[in-house]
Amino acid sequence: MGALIKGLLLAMGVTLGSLPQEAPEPVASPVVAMELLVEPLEIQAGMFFDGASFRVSALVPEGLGITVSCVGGKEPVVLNRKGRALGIIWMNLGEVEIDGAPDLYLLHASGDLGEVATSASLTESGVGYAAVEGRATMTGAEGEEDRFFDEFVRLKESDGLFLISEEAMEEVPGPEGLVRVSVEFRLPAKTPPGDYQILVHGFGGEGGVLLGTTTLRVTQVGMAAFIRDLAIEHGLVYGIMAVVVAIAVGLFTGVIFGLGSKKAH
Amino acid sequence: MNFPIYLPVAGNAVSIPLLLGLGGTVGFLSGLFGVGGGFLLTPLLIMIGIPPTIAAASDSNQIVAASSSGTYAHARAGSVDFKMGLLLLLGGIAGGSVGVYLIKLLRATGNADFVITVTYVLMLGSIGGYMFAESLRSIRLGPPTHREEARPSLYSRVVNSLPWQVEFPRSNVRLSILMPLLLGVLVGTLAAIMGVGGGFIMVPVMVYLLRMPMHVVVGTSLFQILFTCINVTVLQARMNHTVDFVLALILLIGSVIGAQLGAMTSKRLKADQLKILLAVIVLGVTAKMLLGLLVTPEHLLSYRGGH
Repeated sequence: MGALIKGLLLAMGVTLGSLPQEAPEPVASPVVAMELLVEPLEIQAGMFFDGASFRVSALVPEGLGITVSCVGGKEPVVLNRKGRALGIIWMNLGEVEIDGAPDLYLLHASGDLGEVATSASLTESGVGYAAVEGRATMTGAEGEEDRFFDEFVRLKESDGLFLISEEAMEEVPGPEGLVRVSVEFRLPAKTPPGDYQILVHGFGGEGGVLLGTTTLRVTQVGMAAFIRDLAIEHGLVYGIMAVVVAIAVGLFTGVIFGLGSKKAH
Repeated sequence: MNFPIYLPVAGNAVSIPLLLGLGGTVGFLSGLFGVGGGFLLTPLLIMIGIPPTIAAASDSNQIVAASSSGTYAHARAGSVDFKMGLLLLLGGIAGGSVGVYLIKLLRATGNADFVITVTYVLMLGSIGGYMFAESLRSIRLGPPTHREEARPSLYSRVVNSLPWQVEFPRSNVRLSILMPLLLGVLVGTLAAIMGVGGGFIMVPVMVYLLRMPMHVVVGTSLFQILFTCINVTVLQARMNHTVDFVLALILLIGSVIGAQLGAMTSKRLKADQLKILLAVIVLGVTAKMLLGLLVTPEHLLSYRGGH
């Protein structure tokens, strides 16, 4: 298996010390055939969903720095931008639109990210916050893009939707020249339903290569899915139902308490 | 997290006991003072991780339950002035449309957020401050003397000179129907600008400008809030898909019970005690808002929507 991977790398003209100079999109990078397991591959969000864990394990060449990332969809997001009005009052002063940044970005590295790879190779491979920033466009914060991208990351981190973990991964010796790395991810309850790319990158010398990729799916199921679908597809019926139930519960409680107070007299 | 439940529209999980507690507390205040409680609950929901637009819309949904429960309790006690409530409601609907139009104009000029923030703090601060001072004075000195009542103020003379005077027997006042209509427009406009139900403005308006007795004010305010929030809930569900029924359901289970307890407690307290308690809460919220305006925020970016 190790010889296979090394052979593939050589066949592609890729050596770990001299990777392509172009900055490819992560998924478009050359993918080296390898064993990549995600368990489970689908996460179901029902009424008692409180976030979920999944484990990624991969068979990778020994001696490489490894990053494993989970990357969400890239819908544009509009956020309120706070600033000082009249020099003293903090309030919303405008909007910032960020396009091309994922709604979820969780990254586990096999060590300190600065030691796993150079910043140039991380950016080339689309790994890390700087690479995410490089692929995103921001409007509404002209001249302050870096500052507000940092703020965006801090906001996402506070929701558990962005994370860079540099704790050591579990490593088990594999077949000749290979090692099996595995890492557990924790998706927060705020994770939007959708498809998430799992990307495994290997770094050596000054270059990096995409070793494997697969897709994790998060879906709403059961009553949660029914309520969400009703809310989105039949808003008027849903609104009337919500009001009728609220009035019924309100009046029912009123009657129950009314009976109680009559008995008390 | 203890006993979490997933909110399918909000897309987040929250603790059921926490939501029941929040709903119960706000429902209690609703039954006690006749306010919807949106100005308290929506920021609390945002703090526990509910997106602002969903917090505001779902809050309206739960207020429907709390206010129907509270209105029922007050109606049984004979403390809802339906005639006055309907006139205020008509004015409020017209005022809401005016407010929405004003906000649209302000947004076009880029000043909306500043005007909303300043209006919010000034309204809360002035209403809370006036209620507090007046209630304190009333508790210390007792009700106004006959000598004071014998000399009508300029406000009383203007009000008495308005046409279409009618009796409101439940409130024991005689007023022109223009008064509740115009004040309804004023409160509706302010409520739409601030993005709240308006109960905390309506209650002082009824007490000080319509001169209604406090126990009738609470029931009548709840009656009016009920219809306002039905309208908001259906509109939000239809236009923006921002009502999370699961969130609203858990909140309302807490709030309807709280509203009943609040209505019971309301009967045991004197009018001035009720007013001063509401004033303290309004002033507390004002202080919290002022602090939020002056202290550097934790995040310079925030999700859109909410109050």
